[in-house]
Amino acid sequence: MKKRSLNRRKFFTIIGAGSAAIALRPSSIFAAETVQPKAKPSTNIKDAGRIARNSMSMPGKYPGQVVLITSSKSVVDDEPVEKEAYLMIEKAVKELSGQKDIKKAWRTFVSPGEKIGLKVNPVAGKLLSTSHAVTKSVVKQLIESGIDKSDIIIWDRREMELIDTGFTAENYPGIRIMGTECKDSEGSFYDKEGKLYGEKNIDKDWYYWADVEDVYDSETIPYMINTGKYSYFTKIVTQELDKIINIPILKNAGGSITNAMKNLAFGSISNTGRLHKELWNDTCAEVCAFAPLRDKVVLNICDGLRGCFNGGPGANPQFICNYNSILVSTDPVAVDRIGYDIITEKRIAEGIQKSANPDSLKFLKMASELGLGISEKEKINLSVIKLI
Amino acid sequence: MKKILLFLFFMTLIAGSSYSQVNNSFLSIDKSDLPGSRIQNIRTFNGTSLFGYIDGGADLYLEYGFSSLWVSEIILNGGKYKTEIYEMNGPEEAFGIFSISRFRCKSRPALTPFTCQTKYQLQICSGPYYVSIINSTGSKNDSIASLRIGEAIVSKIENSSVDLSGYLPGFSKETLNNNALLVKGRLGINNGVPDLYDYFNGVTGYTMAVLKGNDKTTLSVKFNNPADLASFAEMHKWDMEKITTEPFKTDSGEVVRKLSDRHLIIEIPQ
Repeated sequence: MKKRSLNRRKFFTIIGAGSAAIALRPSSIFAAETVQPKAKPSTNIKDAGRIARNSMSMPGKYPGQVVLITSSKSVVDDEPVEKEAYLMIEKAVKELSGQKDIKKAWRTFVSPGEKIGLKVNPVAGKLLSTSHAVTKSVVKQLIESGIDKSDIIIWDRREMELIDTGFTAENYPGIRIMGTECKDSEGSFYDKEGKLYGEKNIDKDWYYWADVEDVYDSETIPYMINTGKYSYFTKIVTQELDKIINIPILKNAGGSITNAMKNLAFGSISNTGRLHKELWNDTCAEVCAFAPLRDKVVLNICDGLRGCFNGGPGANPQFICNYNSILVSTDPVAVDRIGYDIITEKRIAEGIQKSANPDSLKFLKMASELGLGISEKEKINLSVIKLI
Repeated sequence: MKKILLFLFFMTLIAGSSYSQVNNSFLSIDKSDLPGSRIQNIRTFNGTSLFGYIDGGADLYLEYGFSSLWVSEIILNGGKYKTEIYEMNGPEEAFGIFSISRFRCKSRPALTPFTCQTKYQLQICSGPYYVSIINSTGSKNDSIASLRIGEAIVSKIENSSVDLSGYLPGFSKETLNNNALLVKGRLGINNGVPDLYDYFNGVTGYTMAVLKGNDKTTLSVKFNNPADLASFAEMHKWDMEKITTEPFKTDSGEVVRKLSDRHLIIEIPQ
């Protein structure tokens, strides 16, 4: 936690005590619970609030403000166009920050000397990854605003997926590419001592505890890193980075969306398999409430040049479409709320569903209650810029 | 003490081996099945290791009943084709995934009764397998090459495919094969028929075929047992006495009839 006021050890002591109290509850309490209607599993979310917020904490400098910029020239022959993406991001960042000069606009969020992480989303493979048009544009503008190349890190949960989708040293010279889960050059997840490489990359001082667990077979463990009721944050967010620029891609997840919040939450912790079923909404909201994300994410640049309206978070070509849009906001909740409308409108137009389902917004309401952003549409200040 | 430790050691071994019980036989193809091809970047996934391939997307497959996956890149006639062969727990499960994944099929090649081709993808359901072949250009050559790959895979499948006539008697096979959806739970509903989300909210223990028509949507719901059917009827405040083999119009407008003590046909007007 370089250059930060957080004292990890102290925080660990606090949350450790809280969670241990939960973990050590007498078994009779659990026995009593089994005859009651099934309650939602508890989590250590209360621990997240024990670290004081700072001026940059979510929802960041401009709560509830979202810039939506569109350009019909941003995708040609189903390929995002970098030149147009650059222009769109430049205009949107200026609009959001209220600065006329792009360098000053970026300096509103980042400063030279800070380690800045770009959280991309390559999980659906080449067809539906955060585009290089957007990522390269962000990198260029950061460098032009005085950030040293060596201080920029492109990261996600799985190094293999980053490489598969072209986030490589060749495509991004001088930029570090990092994943929590990784393999060696021989394709093994394990080092010579039989230890998962991923295990070295998680920070056991920072965790999301939830009273739910899953059994993983030997094939699954390398992708989860650990079992049990703890999901540990990656060291990328707890130790490597000072600031995070979140660059998700506009995708549906059933009738809901997987965008800014989900990209951060599920991309930053281990042992996620257990969380999808009962705690999807809670995880999307609550993990972002912990200091390593809450206090470091300074900007969300949602890549909506191409996205999907069904079949997400995977990539089914028939559901991939050109939204020709980029959304920019410091507020991940507000950006997701606007993204939800864009996807839902498309789903209705394509005959996937007839109307919006308010239940799909549950995680945003939860995030809003945690003070991470604005989920009510009527309270969001949306600026729309149409280039062509 | 030694005995206790030994006992614990063996119990750990037994537990470990049961966690590792995964399907290690994968339906796949090689160069001999597809002369002139090059097959690279082969990866395989079992059970929950599917999370390692599609992360959150794995839940949907796991809800239906997933066994294994073989993924590769096939180079053929100068094109590159991402080929996925999902083995599901049975033909219904495979059809379920196929049914909610297809969308506006451009053509339905006669490889199997369940084949859907669009510009960038060929989708096939055969026996317990769901096959997806994705190309990157959408050209005619890619469509032809995808079909060659599909043929090579289908020729290796001997299992019989799903028969939907038991779900929706009275409809033609063609109508069912081309239009029916099959869902098994919350995620299937969310992905296939999201407008039914509230209608089935909290309901478990069923498999449902859905057929959307111009004036009504027909649901064929097979519950795991009569008690699950009764709970569903209670949730909708239907009088069980009136739910018989004869159509009964509910207060909210659906027409409901019973095919057996665990099988309902529900017609919802549009």
